[in-house]
Amino acid sequence: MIIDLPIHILIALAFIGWFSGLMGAILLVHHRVLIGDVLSHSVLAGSAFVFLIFMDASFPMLIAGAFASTILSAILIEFIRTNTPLKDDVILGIVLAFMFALGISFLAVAQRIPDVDKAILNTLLLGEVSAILPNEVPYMVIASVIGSLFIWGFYRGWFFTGFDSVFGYTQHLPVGIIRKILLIITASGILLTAYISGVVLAVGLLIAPALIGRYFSTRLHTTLLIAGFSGSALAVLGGFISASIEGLSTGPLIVFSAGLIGLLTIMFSPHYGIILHKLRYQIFKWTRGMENILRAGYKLLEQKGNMSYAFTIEELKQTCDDPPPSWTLLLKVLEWKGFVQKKGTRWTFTSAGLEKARHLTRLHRLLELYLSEIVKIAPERVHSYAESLEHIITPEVEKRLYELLRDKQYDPHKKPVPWNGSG
Amino acid sequence: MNTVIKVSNLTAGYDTGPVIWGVSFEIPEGVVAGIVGPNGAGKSTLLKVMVGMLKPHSGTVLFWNKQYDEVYKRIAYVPQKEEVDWTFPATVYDVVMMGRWVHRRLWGRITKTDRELVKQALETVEMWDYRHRQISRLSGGQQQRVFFARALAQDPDLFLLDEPFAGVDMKTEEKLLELLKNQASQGKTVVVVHHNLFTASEHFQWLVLLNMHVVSAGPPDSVLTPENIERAYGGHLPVLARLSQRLSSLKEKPTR
Repeated sequence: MIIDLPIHILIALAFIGWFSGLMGAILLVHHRVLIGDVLSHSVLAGSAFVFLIFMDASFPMLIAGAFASTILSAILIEFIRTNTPLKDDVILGIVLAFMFALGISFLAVAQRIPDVDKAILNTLLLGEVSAILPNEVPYMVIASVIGSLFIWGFYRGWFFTGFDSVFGYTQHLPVGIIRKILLIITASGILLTAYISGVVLAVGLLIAPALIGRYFSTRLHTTLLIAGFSGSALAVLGGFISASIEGLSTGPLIVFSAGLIGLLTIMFSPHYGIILHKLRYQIFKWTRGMENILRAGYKLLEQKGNMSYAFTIEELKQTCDDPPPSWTLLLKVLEWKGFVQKKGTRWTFTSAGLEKARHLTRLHRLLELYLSEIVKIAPERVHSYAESLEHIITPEVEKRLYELLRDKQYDPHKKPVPWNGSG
Repeated sequence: MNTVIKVSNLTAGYDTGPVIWGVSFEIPEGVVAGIVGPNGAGKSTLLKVMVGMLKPHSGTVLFWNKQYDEVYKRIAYVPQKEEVDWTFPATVYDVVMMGRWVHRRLWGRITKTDRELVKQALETVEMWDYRHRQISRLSGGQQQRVFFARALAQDPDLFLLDEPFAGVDMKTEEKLLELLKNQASQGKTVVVVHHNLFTASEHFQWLVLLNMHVVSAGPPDSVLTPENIERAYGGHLPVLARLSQRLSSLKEKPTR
């Protein structure tokens, strides 16, 4: 399949995508992504207004008009914020609705004017990268580079505006000015984003790369880098997809692919991903189940007074206080791991299994001792606490427990602590 | 003893009217001082005026006989934990480095000395091993220690801490206090805004008892008299009874 995407469009997408990612990441760490949405919805009003006045739909004119209206929106937001007790969601909602309604009205009027080329106005709504002309690309590249330099240049500043502004104020850093610069960067940068993804969906191209950056890193500069690169990649990807399917606007495709990848990030990222988090929980549940089986087996053998006794699942069930999610499956896993052996309907411990079971029992009983003797919890209650703690003890804590309780022979329920092989 | 902070006849507040009225007191060099008072006494307002975040209606605050604007780099302010955004993408190291950015401003080069000071600060609060830890994954006590490390990295002569002991456990409180006392013994001055009157007499070598006016200022023994406490806390009897008990038991011990 040959995809017809001219090189100048590719360049524009890569640069604007990069810049949008950076911008989105900075807005995200300031919890102000929605301001990007409001400003992008304001683009239409300015562009259409300029067209109505000058009857000129050339790129510089539209950009100038758009910039005027994003700046107006920014000023409006700040004005309402400082002069009323209204909360951000209300302010942003009002300004967005007002400016977008204004833009749509101007657009409707513009449609009725005959004999002037105004196709570009329509493409602003949903974005159409094929409308980008080669002579516009240098402006876009330069604007993206300047915008990115501003974002990197104020790297330290974002810590004082985003993380701890009070500290910044007390040390006479220009916190207020840096905040205004963020607004100006957004107001001008969003024009570029809106130009490729459309004014309605521009926020998608800010938020998706920013999420990827945020989810895959713990520091600001890596967040910015990842967001920038993913913005670039997502914009180019969307461009390719739209070029390969006839009659589809670019904007929705760029934002759709960005959104999809953003959602996948939320699901699968290593630190905060939902899926991995759930997976880790399941793994823990199963490990815990296996440990409980081993300990129940050990207790059973102790009762029988015979460490090579062959037990049935029924006998195990009666000994275990904290039943695992599945008996047969987990016993199979334990067999596969070489801890137990199946003989007909009965099971025995291998020597590795017995050692593991003894270790777990030792840990459990030492924890009971610790809880009753040092934390002074009543002996009848320590069992259930030890039951949950024994699965999450680290080797370091375990070592401390051994040192602390090394001369204890019996747990609070008078059961022997299996210190060594004799059990 | 040299005076580090001199507050004279300070009246300050918000649009709705002053919160503190005609406040005057001094804090000497080399002490851990506490600004203590009930809720709504104007402690935070006072601190905000001191660090130049709020313009006073009248009166002055002088540090080493100078205006705050001339000496702010020598003063490290530690805000309340709740005032900052702990979800910000930064590591412990990044936050402590902010203490050096105060001197290097927005674009100055970070030198070897800066990195060395950050390392020392983190080692002092025993958080060097956590330097790569994302700040959202710290406990309350660890957050407070990171904040204090940032102040240390700034290498100031005066520390101003806003409620550093709020929401941290006893052990962290003791540890932090030890760090503060250590700084004081090196000739630095530490001022702590603190709401707990009961621990105040043990924690601080100098007290400012505040309730919109300065009720009393000086060494704890002279400040925490029943009359002063009644004036500050409005004769809240249970408070008074418990405190006088505490005080009498303290007085039996030799003073340090």
